[in-house]
Amino acid sequence: MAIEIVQQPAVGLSKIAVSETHGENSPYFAGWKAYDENPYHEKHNPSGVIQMGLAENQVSFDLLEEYLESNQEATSWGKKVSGFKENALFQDYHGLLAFRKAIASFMEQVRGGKAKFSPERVVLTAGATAANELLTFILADPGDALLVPTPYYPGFDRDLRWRTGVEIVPIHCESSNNFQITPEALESAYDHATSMNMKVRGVLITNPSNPLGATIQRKVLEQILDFVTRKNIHMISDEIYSGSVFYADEFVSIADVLESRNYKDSERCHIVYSLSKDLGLPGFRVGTVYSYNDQVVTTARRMSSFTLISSQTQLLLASVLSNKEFTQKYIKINRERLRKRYETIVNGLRKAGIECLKGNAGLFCWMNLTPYLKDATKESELEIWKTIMEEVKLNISPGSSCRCSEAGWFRVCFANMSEETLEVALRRLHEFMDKRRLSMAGRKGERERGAGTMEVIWAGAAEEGGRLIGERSKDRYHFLIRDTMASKLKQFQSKAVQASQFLSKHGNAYYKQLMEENKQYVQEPATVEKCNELSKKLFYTRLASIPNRNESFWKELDYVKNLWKNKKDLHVEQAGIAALFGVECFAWFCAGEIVGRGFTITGYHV
Amino acid sequence: MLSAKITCNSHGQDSSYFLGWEEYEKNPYDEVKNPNGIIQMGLAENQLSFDLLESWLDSNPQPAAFKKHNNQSIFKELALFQDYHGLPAFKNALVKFMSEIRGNTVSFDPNNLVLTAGATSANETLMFCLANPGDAILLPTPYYPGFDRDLKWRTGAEIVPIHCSSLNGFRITKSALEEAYKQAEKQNLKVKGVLVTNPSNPLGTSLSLHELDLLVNFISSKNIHLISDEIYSGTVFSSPSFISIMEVLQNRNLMNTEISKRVHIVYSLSKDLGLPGFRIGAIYSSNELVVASATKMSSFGLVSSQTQYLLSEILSDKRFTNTYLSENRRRLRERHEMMVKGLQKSGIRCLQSNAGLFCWVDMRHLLSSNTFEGEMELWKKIVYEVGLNISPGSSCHCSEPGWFRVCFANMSEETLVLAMQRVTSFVEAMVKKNNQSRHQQLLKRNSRRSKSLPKWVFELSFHQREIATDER
Repeated sequence: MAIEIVQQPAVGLSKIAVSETHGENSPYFAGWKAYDENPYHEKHNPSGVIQMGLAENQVSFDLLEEYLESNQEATSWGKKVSGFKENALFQDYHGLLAFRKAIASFMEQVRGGKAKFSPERVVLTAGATAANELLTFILADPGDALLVPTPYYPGFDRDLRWRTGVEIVPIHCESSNNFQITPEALESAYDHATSMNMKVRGVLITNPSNPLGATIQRKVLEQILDFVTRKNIHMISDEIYSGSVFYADEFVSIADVLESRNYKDSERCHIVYSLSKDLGLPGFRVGTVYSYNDQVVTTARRMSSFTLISSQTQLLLASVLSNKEFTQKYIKINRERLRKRYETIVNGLRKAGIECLKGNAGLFCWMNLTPYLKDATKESELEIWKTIMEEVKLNISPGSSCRCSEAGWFRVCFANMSEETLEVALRRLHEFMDKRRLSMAGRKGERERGAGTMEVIWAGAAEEGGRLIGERSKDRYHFLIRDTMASKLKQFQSKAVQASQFLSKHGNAYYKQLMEENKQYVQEPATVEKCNELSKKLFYTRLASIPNRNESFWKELDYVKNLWKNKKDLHVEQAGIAALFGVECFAWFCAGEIVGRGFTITGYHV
Repeated sequence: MLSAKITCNSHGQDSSYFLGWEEYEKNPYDEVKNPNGIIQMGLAENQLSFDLLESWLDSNPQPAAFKKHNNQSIFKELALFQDYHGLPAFKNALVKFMSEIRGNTVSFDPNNLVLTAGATSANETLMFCLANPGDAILLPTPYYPGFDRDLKWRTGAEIVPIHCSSLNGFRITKSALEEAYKQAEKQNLKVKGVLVTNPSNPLGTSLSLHELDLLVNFISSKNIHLISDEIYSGTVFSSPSFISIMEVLQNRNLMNTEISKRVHIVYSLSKDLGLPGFRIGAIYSSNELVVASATKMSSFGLVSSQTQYLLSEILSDKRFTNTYLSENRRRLRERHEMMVKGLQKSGIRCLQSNAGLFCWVDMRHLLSSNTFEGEMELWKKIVYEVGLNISPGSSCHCSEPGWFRVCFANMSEETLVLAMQRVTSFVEAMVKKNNQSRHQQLLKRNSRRSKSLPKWVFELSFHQREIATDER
């Protein structure tokens, strides 16, 4: 009976099984590992890693526990003899009607009663993860695309792409307008997908946004709805943080917009909801798809067989959520507590010299460390992230894990810990920032001292660049720099050949060619509009971040001008850098080539 | 505007199997309120042992009320528990329960276990892990109608049937396996594995050692996977006793070999404990890659932590599980006997079986024609006239018409008695009617031919038809 074991090639698994699309092997999970290996504990491990990468809501458990204590029938199967049996056997994929009614009315309550939700359209799934995957399966075929604004929740790569074979095409949002979705960005994402021969099937937004922690304005929702209607595609609005909007009147659900439009074109809209964030119950796996499309509802129900919610949990939550008095109180107090937490963290960070995107929702803030990056690259972002993880012992999420198109942003969670722990975290960050500022100043000093040999090389460039920057008015800067540089390029090259590999790389011929190709972008001053247009054309290059860079560019320019005013104190090296900086700006604008040095004078390494 | 999944019918929910359910839902039997309603016999639910669970819950009220044994609340901890590796206590208890069902002849490592929201999800997850769209999985017929949805719908994989025949009691044979493999190759499908249900749904029989050996040899020589869906393993109520694929691997010294890495078990508490509402399924595999990948996929269908905790407490009570398993088997055996005898009275035979919550019932002799149209015709009569919702063999892709799956554990004893009475009177009326119509036909023919034929001619033709069926 024994089998002769012949050496055979190991039998393969599916492509899905061996693919990396689930994204769990990204460096970002190193942070989680670091936390798991050395978790902070007030008493037992006060120098451990504080978990700030987990969007959990732990601020209102006392309310739920109190409810369960005083409503013990919620967790038992009632007085009815067959209570347990009936519940244990309940596997109808429609879900318990009492539960669907309760969750629909909870959704109304969270939205201030403006929009109505029918229990008939509530499809239950084991969490929002499954809800999003299920909708993707229903709305798109393998190879089709969904447009998703960046930065987005890292799990979407798994939820939307992994098993469905659907692609995510990013809608690039930028810090210059607080990462809001614009019609232009929508169009260019659509065009990009089309140019890659992908069929766009829909737009997926998170409102309130994870990771931004901000709600989407009505105007923007209207624009997206118009966009999906014009393109005849779907819109998925993931509103799992809707109950966590702590400035409540600032939340507008897509349901509200549809209501005000009399549900015209609503059949292309689908809402995802969950109790994991708003009630803080991720372990119970309660998600829903709410669709205005009958066919989607029917199919989603059938598909939900793969991902049903335990009937025991449905029964419990039907009891909790149908108590209006409790839910009203919970929503109100939970919001207040989140707001307080948010204010604590934002103020604490500000004291440490760190700004956040203005938020109004969620369990996290979107922290801006761009001024502290060595340069505006993902590498620098991960470097600072690693430092924060290893030295400050905080696990936060780098923006690159959320596919943010600008380096230097981080998601920092504040509701998954005690107030005391949050204070510890803020204190640690404050100390770290103080130290960093000190050492940055120190490094600058070192650089200046060691600059001797470079002086000669820099001198010529300094002369030209300095004159240029000093003399021209800010508004005309690009224009003039182009004119001047064109004629002086050769001269520059001979003078600064060693120092400026950049220049030689972008030498004459290349320069001319690029000038020709990009004429339309340099003929006028580089306004924000102009840059926007440029970003549209060159979507997948990092030029997408021009408006932001434009802004910081002017800051740098002011700095240079200021330096020049006090010329006599100016170190020759700095003048040289200033010149080079000018050249780089110029080439950057003309060529659409990112130099990747971070566009700062202070960031240069000589 | 929607995906192909929405318009394709591989979810199979428009099949007659589901139509019967819809019919039942319109007019469900109730002892008092609707005594003429349709009795649901298409639902493989185990309702026989709830009293045991209920009395356990009565004497152990803490777990359901989010309490630990020391009465401390575990609510917050559970509410936040979303680790897809599952509660360690629950996984430990579950693997021990699986061993207990197999007479503790094999042990299971909790690290090889992946929790899923029901066996439905477990089977789909395994398909996602093992097959690419367009790959094939071989499946012995008749098979559980839900497999069309579970294995094909979203994965894009194909099912190629291994045709089993009533001639040998629907046993899996080497030639049937080879034939199915050839069929797949002919259709240019890459075969990735074989899936069996052991004990079989809908047959209610467990696989013999011979069949299991065949399967192991087959997947070994073809270099493919074997999925053994053992969700009915705790329902084996009489001999021969249940043999798990794990035992075969162990007895043949194949544990920790390359072959054992290609064997994957699906389990669930929906049938053995009768808790389908709680959505507890599991994949057991010795293949690290499959475990890793399936664990990640389980994010799409995790088991509620509340339910994991409750079940970890129930299943770690060894005295309880022991009593439950033996008492549940005893009750199933009784029920099974009742049904088999009841049907026998009406001259209806069942495939001899030892497991499950149903019988595989032979009604070939009641067909008006030996076709699937004939089967559908009879099925409709049984649903509408007799008022029983049973599952026609065609919904299980059976290759012979005339077989039906009839469930016996989802109702009270009284209801089962009534169902049997309904069958008896239906068959009696049918025989009577048939004899009459045949008699009339005969008279007509006789008058045409003006020649009388003895009665045995009809009996003979009846037999001939049956023989023809068996030869298919």
